[in-house]
Amino acid sequence: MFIICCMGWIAMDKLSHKLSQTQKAVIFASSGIVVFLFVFCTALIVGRYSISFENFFRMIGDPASYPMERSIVVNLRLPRTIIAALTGIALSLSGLLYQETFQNKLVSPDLLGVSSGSGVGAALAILLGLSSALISLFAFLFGIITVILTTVISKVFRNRTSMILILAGIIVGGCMSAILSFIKYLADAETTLASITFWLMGSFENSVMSDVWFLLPIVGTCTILTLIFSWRINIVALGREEAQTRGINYSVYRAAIIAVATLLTASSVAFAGTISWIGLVVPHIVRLLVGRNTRKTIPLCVIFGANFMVIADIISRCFTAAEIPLSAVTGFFGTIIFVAILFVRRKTISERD
Amino acid sequence: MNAIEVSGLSFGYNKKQLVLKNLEMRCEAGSINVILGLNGSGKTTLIKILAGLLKASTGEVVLNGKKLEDLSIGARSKIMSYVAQRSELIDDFTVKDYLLFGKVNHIAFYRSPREEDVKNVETYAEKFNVTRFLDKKLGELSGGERQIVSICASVIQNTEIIILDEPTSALDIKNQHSILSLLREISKHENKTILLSSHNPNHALYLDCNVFLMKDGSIIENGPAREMIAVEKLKPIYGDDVCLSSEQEYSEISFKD
Amino acid sequence: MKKVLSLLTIFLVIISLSFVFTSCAAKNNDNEEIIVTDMVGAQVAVAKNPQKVACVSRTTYDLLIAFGLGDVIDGAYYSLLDNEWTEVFYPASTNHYSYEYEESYETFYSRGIDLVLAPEAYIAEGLREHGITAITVCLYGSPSFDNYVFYFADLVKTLWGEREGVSEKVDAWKAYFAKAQTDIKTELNKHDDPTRTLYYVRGDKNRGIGYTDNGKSFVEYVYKFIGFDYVGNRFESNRPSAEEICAIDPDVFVIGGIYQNTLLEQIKTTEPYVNLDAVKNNQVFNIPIGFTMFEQISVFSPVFLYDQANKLYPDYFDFDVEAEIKALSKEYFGIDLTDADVYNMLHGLDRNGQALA
Repeated sequence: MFIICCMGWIAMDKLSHKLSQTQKAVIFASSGIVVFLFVFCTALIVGRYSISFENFFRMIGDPASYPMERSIVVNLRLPRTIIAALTGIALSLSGLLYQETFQNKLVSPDLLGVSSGSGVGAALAILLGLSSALISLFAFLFGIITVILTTVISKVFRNRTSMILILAGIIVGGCMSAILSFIKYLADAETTLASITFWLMGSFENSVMSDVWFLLPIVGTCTILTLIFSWRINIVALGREEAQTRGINYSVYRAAIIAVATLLTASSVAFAGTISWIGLVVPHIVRLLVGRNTRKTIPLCVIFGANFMVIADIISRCFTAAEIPLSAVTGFFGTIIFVAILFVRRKTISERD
Repeated sequence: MNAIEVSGLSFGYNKKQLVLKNLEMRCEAGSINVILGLNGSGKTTLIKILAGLLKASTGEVVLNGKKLEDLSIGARSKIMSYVAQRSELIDDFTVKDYLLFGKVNHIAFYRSPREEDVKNVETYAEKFNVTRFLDKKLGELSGGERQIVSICASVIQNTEIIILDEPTSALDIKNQHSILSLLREISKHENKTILLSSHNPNHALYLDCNVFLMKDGSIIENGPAREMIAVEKLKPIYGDDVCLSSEQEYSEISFKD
Repeated sequence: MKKVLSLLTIFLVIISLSFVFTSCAAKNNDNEEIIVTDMVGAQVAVAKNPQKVACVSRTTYDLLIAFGLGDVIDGAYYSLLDNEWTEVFYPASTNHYSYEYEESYETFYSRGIDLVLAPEAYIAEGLREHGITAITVCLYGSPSFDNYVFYFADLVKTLWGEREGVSEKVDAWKAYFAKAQTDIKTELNKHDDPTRTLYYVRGDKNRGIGYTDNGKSFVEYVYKFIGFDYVGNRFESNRPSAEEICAIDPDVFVIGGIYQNTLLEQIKTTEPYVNLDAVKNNQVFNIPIGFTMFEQISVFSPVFLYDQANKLYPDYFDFDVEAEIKALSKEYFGIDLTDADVYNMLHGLDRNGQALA
């Protein structure tokens, strides 16, 4: 089903050369929303516990008569699907924001050390034996602290170029990985180490509704903010000189974008662990489809990111008994779609795409 | 009235070495001004300070009667626009998208460009004869076409002052000519103050404009091109070998063998 | 020419020296050697009567002590020593060295270990490649655990059989186990009940209800023996999702390990597990813990059979599990347990009646 959708998109892309970029973006966005509604419902119906269509709709009408079905849909599938969608939005959006701000298309959301920082926070919380809510909170706070540390270190060099910030990110990220290794060494191999490793692998398995109430406001606010400023982010992408002379306060905008992207990444890492690839692949796919204009790419990133992640989650939990690690699914399917789109577009891709 | 006034301007990237030394200059409103100098004379530094991208160590810059340092980035962008040397960062955008960026200081922060903004940009594109590549990416354009688009975006920004950093560098003679005539057109019809840097004195002659001769971080001479482009004036900059060939239309600067 | 000659001499000297060293190393094992086949089928030459044994494999420590060989143990896997019950059954365990799962090879050399009982094949192989005698005694057998129930007991007999009292103790324990099996089988054969499904929750790590054992283990062996359909072997992984467990909806849940009390609470209070038939019908049981978890082959394995038979067939069996625990402790460890101790063991608690984790 998923493959068919992709093929459909690609075919449409190929046929739509006559359409303007804006018309294309509108078509992609509206079809994306329709597909998302479909995917979301599918996610609630399918799973290792088989619920027939019939029973699913009967259950909606009369939950009391189908306690097990209701319980599985409401307690297992609904929270994880919502969290998957939110995480997909958060990671693709933050990937896009980082890529535009740092004018580097190979940058991923953990550029400034967010993921490794969150990993340290979570590992520390697990080591201290804290509850799962506190683990997420620790991961979130440590992710943000790491980025603050990165920016402080880049300030020490007294050089305002983005390169210094990226370098500082590598330095801090490396340091955090070292701390993480050390915490793992301290952890009890029988009990806590296993939890830490499992947490770091990333999964929606333990998602509950209370996570949604934490994640939704953060991702919601950040997404709305980015959508409002979607056109202006283009001008930040032009670089300091051009942005400033066009009348944009580059430093303020860049700081705000980094803050938003960091919030998005940290919150998603806090609830789903580190999921690679999506932050790199979705923005690329979107750019290949509608060109580089954040006014179009940002809304599309939101829609495609949510779709991609929910589908990845369905794949991760439906086909094998043990859940396939999400990063494996996102990496695998990300590459396939990526190659497909590159192949279709191979003649129209220039050096800088 | 002077559109640009610079007094006592000094600047150094480090404390020991000053790139600009106690520099003075004045540009009349509605005039074209060329800063002439060799590579490394401080032209680009001066341009960047005027554009607000670098901060002067001492001295004062006044644009349209307002001190540069008192202007916010937004207010500054309504007085003065800047055309940088070739930037790779804009390559992926389509010409239409890029031209719309010139409108950013006229659009409220929460809004995107509307249909009327697009119409306005299309009118300018028509004027600058770039309509045929509105949907092309900037990276696909030739150097000359790119430069025209950049200048067009600056005009769309709708400021009284336009500052250009070596707009003709890396262009062939035909394109150099078309850029210069474009600037002359703009100055005439849009009544804008234009300041550009160049290392080719012939450009100044062609534009028939006000000239600042720059050497080692100071303005050493200042006056109309007809007076400034003379062998004795240029010798301190270009050396003793410089010569002038006066023919039909305008003089040509060249070097003795 | 001279240069070449001198190089040649040096070369020869090095080669001959290395031969001398290797032959020295080989000569070290001059006492009687026997070839042992370990649980994964590796043939290993082991000197008889090892005097310094490292029990990195969890299932070996309590049995060695019970068979009167506590003095040949140098150390044990750290989680065995961290368990407070260990000190109760064998006070001298405080002198034992605490090993990591993948302990460094040098530790074994510096401690002069004769034999390492390794928990997994790759660990044993690594040790052997580095010249340390190691055999694998793992929790799983292939193709099933049926042939491995007495593997370690027999191995003890082979290696230390000449030592006074060891063979007798091993045989007595085997007989004890066989008796428990007969006691249960005889009664069960009288009835013809439909086979019920059983899901085992592995609670030695805090991984929730969705953590089990995929079979080929002693756990599967025992539950099959007492007439259950062990569903753990239906899953492809030992981490089935909640949906899969609900899809099977097993008749009975058994929960073992140090996290058992947390998990018991969890299954009874969280969605969607509360909707399971087993939870509604109160068919969720724990597995006792003492020196080891009872579901792991150990001295108390006969009691494991009795205890689970009582819980899973309350109408047929009423073994006196408390008395059996006391008797086994007395016979094999020479200690008298209090009633409180026995109660705590049966409820998966520590000596003070607190949850173990």
